[in-house]
Amino acid sequence: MFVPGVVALWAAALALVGSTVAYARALKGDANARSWARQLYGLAVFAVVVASAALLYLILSHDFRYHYVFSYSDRSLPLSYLISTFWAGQEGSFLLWLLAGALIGLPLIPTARHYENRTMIVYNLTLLALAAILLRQSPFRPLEGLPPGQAPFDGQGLNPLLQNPWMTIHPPVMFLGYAATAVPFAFAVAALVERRYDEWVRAALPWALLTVVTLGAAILLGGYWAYVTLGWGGYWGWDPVENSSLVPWLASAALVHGMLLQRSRGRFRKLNFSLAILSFVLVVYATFLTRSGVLADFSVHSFVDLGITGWLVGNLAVFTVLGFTILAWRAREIPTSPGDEPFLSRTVFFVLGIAALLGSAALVLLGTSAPLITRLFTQPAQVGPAFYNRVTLPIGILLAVLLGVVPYLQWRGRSPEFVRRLLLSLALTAVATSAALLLGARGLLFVTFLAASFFALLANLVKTVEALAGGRLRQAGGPLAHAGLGLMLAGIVTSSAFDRTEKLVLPLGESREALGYTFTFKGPEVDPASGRQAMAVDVRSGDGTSYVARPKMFRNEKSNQLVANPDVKVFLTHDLYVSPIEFDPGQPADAGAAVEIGKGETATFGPYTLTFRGFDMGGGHGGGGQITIGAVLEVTTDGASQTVTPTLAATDSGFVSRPVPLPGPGGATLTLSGVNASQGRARLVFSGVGQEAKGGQPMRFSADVSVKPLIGLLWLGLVLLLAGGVLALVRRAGDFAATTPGEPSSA
Amino acid sequence: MNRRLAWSLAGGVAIAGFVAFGVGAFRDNLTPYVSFEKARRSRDAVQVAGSLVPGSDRYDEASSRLIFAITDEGGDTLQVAYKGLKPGNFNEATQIVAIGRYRGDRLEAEKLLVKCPSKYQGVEEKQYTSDPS
Repeated sequence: MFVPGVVALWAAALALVGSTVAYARALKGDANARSWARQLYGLAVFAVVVASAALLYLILSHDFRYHYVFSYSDRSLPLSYLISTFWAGQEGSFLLWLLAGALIGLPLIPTARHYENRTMIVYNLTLLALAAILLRQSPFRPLEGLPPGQAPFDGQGLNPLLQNPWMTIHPPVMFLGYAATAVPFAFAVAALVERRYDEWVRAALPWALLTVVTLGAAILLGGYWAYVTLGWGGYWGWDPVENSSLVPWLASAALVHGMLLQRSRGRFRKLNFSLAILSFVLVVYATFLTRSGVLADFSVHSFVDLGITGWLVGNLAVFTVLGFTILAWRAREIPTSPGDEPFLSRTVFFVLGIAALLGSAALVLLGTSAPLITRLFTQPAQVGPAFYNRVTLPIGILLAVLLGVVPYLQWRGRSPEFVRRLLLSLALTAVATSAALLLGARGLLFVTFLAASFFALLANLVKTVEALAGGRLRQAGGPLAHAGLGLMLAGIVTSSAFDRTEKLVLPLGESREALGYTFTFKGPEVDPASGRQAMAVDVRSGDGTSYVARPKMFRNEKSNQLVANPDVKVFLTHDLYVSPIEFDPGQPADAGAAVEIGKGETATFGPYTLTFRGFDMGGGHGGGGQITIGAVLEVTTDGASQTVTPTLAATDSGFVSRPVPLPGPGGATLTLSGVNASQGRARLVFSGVGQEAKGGQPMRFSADVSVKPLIGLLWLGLVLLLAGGVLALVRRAGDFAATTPGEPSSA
Repeated sequence: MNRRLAWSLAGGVAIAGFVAFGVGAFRDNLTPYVSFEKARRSRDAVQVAGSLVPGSDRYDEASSRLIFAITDEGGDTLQVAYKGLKPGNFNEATQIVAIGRYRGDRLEAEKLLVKCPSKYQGVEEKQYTSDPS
């Protein structure tokens, strides 16, 4: 055990208990207790920060005596990936979650007003649940089986798939969102106990928006990471891990809309209590699903049961029972009143939107829980992406239509310009859909979805522009977010329904045409940016422009895992996605094609005469620490001479030769296949020369290439959605700060 | 009151339809774990698990599929074809889960799950090299 870390964790847990007890005393009217409670909370935050700093210190100082450091890091990682090692494993990510939750409490306390005592009691409990897991499954535990006084020289390293810039920031953003769901939950419970059923909505709304923005950003980062790293061509695989951030996100989005309803209409109180409790319980449930190992047979993510399953089930039971029991206890006295709004009113549309969000959340949850549900009746079974695609499509269409109509509705009915604006949006939608049909969009369901997405986008875009032109930036949040959502849905349809994929087998140096591009495989090389083996493929488009695609294929030494990353080239109208499948190094041509020469010597092969001038170490050390050696050769053929330098690079994944073209017809190449530096000799192999021995097979590279039309819309839409969310967050936080507190917050 | 009744009816019908739709889609798409024998007889998507027959994997360019065989505890062997990337630590896998439909003489897999000896379990004692410092 790393004592300072463990002490800090215990200190944090005890301070949280102390703060909870002090808040409970403050409820009984103890004048000093609240000040004690706050100071103890501050102490807990400090202890959590110390524990986090301790783990980071162990990682940065390469202290491989500790299990966590040994398992997830090694000496070769650069600083940024060393830092992200912090949250690469279960224990570290729980600590990150606790850290985010602890920090959120700092602004929460001064803004909780008269709800402070009860809110913080509940909130402290949620943090204690995390701290308990960390005390049970400590990130500071030592490596087992280590002889005393010894330390491993190096660790096992970070999963190469996680060594990606997007993956370094994805977890902190996500855990901020997870942690923020506890705030509306705590407010809801406090409000139920205090019988003050309305004010909490204003206080909790900015936090619900924070969850929507941060979880949304995390989903965006994770999806983009999958797209540029995993190589199956998509960004969303309906994996349990992905679903377990999507479901709380959908529930939190429903909560935000429910709170806006209650604020404006003074009704829907029970709905919001249910949603606030549900959002948090769903986060706890998702944690149970993904961290307990119950889905180990059903997901590509490697879940290992760390022995905390009991704790996770306990957490789930405690918070579910706590939340819903208190709600049931108060349910009869929460005032309700019937509404009288017409169908075409923002009120009804919000209710429908909430129903659609919850419906899709329920279906995704049902699918994700399939192995658990079926286990109750028969042998466990799961559902694949086909289920999710089928059930979310109609809800997506419904949601998009609601989004298109809602901008010109008011709480109690239509706005005066409703009909005109609706016609304008529909006309624009008709134009956009016709354009899509002209460009080749087909399929009734997809075109319907596309049209609905355009409708959502355009109606909200018009509204956003109106708001901005009128100088009402503050009110643009909702429409901007909804325009982004429409854009995102359109991008999902175009990039998946109209995606074209072809499989290519590329022998070295030969060209193949596919999807309007000409692909020529140039051989393996070392990617200058990452120092890893990549396949260089020259891609030439119809208009003559070209670039070199470098999909990566390398073997991770530590895990002996073959890693393949796609190459993604972003064009204005589409992405060209080159995903490696297989690399066949080919049969080396027989000895007749190989020549071994020493410095200053001359050799002849076919029409070529070679003079070896010497080694060129100028390639030097590229990124990643590989060494490149070049053989400087003078080649004479048909009376003309020229200097060529084929290179050989030693990389983490072995030697990589970079052939050079030879002058003359036929596309012959020369490869440096080996060096003997001490004797100053080089071994060279000719390929493509007429005299090449029979039976030699050129190297071949197989890849999936696909064109993904307008996938940029998806990312742009998500960014707009989040920007709208941030605008709304700023507005609602400002609204709340401007209200008069029901009771002075500082005692 | 009529209005309220109409709303409740519409809501009830919508919810009932929604539940029927969800449950129907759910039942249609379930892929149960089955034995190889059952997989051969089934027309539906199923899920099978077995260990890779060493050396049986090859990439078939003509059909552009990864072809391999898995064997279960009883020694039954099943041919699997997978149209897609060979998963990372495929050859080191202790168990391979294939999800798909049996067609012709092999299982056409839509999805593969590769289960590896966990990098972090049981190997700790052996894998480090001691450094006297």
